[in-house]
Amino acid sequence: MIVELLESHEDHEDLEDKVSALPVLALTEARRLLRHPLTLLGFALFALSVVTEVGDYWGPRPAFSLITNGMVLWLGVLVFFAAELVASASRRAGGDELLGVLPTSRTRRTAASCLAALGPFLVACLVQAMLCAGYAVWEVPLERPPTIFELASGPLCVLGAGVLGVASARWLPWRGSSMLVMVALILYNNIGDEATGRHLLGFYAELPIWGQWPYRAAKGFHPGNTDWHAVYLLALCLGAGALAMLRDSPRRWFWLGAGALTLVLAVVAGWAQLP
Amino acid sequence: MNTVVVTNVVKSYGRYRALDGLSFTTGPGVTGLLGPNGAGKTTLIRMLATVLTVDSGTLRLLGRDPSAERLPIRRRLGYLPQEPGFHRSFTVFEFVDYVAILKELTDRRERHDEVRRVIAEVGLAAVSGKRIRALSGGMRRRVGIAQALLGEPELVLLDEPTAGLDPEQRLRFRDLISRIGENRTVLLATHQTEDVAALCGRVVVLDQGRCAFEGTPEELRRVAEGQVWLSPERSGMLSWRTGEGLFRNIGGAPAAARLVEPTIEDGYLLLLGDAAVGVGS
Repeated sequence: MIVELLESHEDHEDLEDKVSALPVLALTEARRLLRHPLTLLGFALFALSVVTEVGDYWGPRPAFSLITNGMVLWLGVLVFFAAELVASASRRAGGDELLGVLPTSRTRRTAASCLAALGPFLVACLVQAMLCAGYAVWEVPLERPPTIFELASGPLCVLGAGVLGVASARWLPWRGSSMLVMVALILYNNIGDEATGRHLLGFYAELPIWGQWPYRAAKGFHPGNTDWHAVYLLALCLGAGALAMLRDSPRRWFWLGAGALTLVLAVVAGWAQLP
Repeated sequence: MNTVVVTNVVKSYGRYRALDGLSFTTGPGVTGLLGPNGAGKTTLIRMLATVLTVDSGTLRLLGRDPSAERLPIRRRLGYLPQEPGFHRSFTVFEFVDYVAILKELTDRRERHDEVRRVIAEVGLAAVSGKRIRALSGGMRRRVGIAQALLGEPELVLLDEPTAGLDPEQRLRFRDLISRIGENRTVLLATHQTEDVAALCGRVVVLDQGRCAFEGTPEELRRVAEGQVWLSPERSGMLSWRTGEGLFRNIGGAPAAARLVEPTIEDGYLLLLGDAAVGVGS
């Protein structure tokens, strides 16, 4: 009840709170997210999958898949749950009343949590760069050279997972709701298949079949555009951020507008990426 | 200057009136808010903490109107709710530091100095690296007080801060609060008349959302002057058996009654009558 009362009091006065507290808070939240056991487990599992892949070498296509979408599975899923748990920690602990009367508003706390998702994203970018360097050093044969957009897909999914975790914590404050969101994401991910080409609408997309030398081209498969896929993922990240902010911010119309813009961008990029 | 001015404040939850035309004022020093369960103490503290708004009446905190100037008030406020809800995986230092960031202490060095200061002030310096889930109830309470003291707030609101503390911890707590109250306004919502007697310069007794008494603890004690006596049988408006086998009675004393010195608790019980005995004590 208190949370609702605190929320109902959010007003334009909150726009006056010190913006300077936001980066400090975002850094703190990023540290919390990066140090969360689920995030650490995600990185550990990804590292394990890399070691296994490099050790056993299953072929040029799995090696390509690992570098472009391995993070979605191993890291993205766990970062989503970690972000949800970190963003909902004060609510679950019953601390919303204590934190709610502090000068930094809930809106700023949500913004900081969204920005904190950049932490795992940046670490994922670093890991991706190290993996690329490793592939180059060990001369790992790949299906084809990945584009920068394809390489960005993994970290972008990690970013989206973190921001969506925050949105989920804010909009669905019930036990087990994050699990339902994950089930919905998995269902959405399986919306299409390789035959229809709608496979790119998902997050865990098999990118090797797209691109310059698609192995399916001989069978009449028309590849889509993976550059647009990265834009599509970025639009979904921004949309999740707008959704999270919409819950608490007194600037409802601003975030509604931002959400609508990202939705348009996601639809355009989602359409443009398809074969 | 009066830090808190409450005038004819009404607050309802549906049909239930938690505060019903409450008025009182208070300034620097420690003020106790006494009352039985359901008297409106927590509702009042939440209003003063800017968690709740008034339905009608006026509230002035630190010279400002909380309905129009909430943020400046929050910047000068320290608050310990009845159930603080700590992040249990945080260490003491991490939790207080986290609250310090939310209190807009952005400079890292200054913030850490301030965090160390308040942790030392509540006597938790030795356990500042310990996780909150590993602390006793009393220590957690002190963590709550530490975060309320961050940034030298001018108004400190403590809701049932001694709940669950053992006598030694309570003694330490009283020492701490009386030091805090030397140069700022502290409002203490409690059931414990002993805490009020030991700590408070002023006391406000709430009953059914109204102010039943406002004055000093000594004045509250004097409410029961000449109305407390010992007898071998139960005979007063309120009475209970003491360890010596006699009954301590409160109310209109009979002519030959063996009168005794009243305590603040006697004054409080006399004021509230059955409400205090049935619900609060």
